Amino acid sequence: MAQAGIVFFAALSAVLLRKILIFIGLEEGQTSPARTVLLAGVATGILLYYFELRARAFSPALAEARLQALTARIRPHFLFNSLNAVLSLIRVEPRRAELALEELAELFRVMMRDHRELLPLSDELALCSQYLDLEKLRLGERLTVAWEIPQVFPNIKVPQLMIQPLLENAVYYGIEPLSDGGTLRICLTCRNDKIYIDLSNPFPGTDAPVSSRMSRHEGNHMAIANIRERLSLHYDLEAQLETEENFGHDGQGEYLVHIVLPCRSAIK
Amino acid sequence: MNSPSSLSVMIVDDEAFARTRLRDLLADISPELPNAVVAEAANGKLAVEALENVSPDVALIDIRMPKMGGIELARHLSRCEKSPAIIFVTAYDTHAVEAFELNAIDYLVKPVRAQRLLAALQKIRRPPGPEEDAAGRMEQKLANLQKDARIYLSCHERGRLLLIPVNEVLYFKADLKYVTARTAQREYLLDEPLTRLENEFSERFIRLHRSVLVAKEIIAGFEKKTDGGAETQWYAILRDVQEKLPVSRRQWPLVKSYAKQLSS
Repeated sequence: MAQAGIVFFAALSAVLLRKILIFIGLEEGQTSPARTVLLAGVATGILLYYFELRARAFSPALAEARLQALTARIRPHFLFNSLNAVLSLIRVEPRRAELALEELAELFRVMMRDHRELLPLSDELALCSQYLDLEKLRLGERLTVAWEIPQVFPNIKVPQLMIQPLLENAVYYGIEPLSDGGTLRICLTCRNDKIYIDLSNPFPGTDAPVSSRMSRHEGNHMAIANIRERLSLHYDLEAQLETEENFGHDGQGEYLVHIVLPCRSAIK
Repeated sequence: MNSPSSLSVMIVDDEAFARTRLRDLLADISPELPNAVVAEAANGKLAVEALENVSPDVALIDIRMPKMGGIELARHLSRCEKSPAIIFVTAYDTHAVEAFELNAIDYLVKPVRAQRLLAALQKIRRPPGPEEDAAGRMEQKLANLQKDARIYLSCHERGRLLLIPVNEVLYFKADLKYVTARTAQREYLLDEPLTRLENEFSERFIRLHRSVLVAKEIIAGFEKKTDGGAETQWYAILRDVQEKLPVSRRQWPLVKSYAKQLSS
């Protein structure tokens, strides 16, 4: 059907183009029809591409589909390693195993939810803390988490899974490759109707191959691009996401993510 | 407990609970397959250290570990005379699993099940032993699996496996038959060709000469010497080392452009 349409469209533009060319005097009506057909084909291609772009940019259904596709998925590596840790706990510490399974269930409930809705920021933070509890179970003292969150903060609504995937990357690319582990910092501040979320984590720096640095990882790249795009779909230009990579004199790296969200527009 | 017929096992995994789990499972299957855990290590580097004192029949090795991952550990071990048989244990890594299948390398997926573990231990592929070629082939297979450059080089000295951190190597030099790696302390004999080292560590080393690779960061400068006749020869001056390394005429343009980058 669509192909028939395109053929028809091409034929039509060929005729029209020829007429126009004759009309504007560029063509005497004698040039080979093959050339005209070729020109028409090009013109058709450009037009079709333009309409396609237009449809893509303006269709709300597409934007929604994109949101869904963009939603972060939890890393299978994390699921299987967590299950493995819980399995080993069952014999020695059944209560702790119980708790861990409950948390895992909760986490997956969130992961499988409809992701298009916005959720309160406090829910996202609760999810983050649950996720980090499970990682702590697995990594033991290698993972320390420092939260800095004001007692009262405007509980705006945010896209789901906006922070958790960033923490997951911080653990996967930052803490796990360090034999002594490190501290993951999550800091939230409010100023001038804006919410600032700052995350930081250490990662193996100069003594590890450059390709293993956080900013070079495709996985990390994708997650950052994904969240940035979701933020822009929800907030347009009002939200920002920046990343930064520093090296201390001991050669250890520090990876930072800064998110700025508007307070007001998100409450809608 | 460690009767002669029992299988000695080493467990290498950075997660304590993952090690516990494997130990539990090994105990569970011991009526069918007598075994004993003779060593545990939290990463590849510690595993190499542990292997100075024990020589297990088989090593269960996690892939993703700090300091030195499982694939790199296996590469170093595969060059040893009495390498344990290796079974990788991985949580989730589609690429690795495909590659393992393709290359007939033994692996288990986490969470490991007792029956799978038993089956894997019962059909251990004996390490290649006397055929030199087989060991080399195994090393090559594993090398294909490792995307990043190694963190260590290994060298065998009087039956011991020595690890040399790549970032401590100042330069590599190829003689007629051997390649040596020079660190601030001493020299090590390696059994791999210079071209392979050059490809793998191009981020850190630059070729000065047909037979010399030097760490870029230790180059302090260059000097020109005229050896009697009209022939001039450039030499690289190195930080902390007296020795000067010759730069071949063929490599000089490349080295020079690198030196310019350095000074800018």
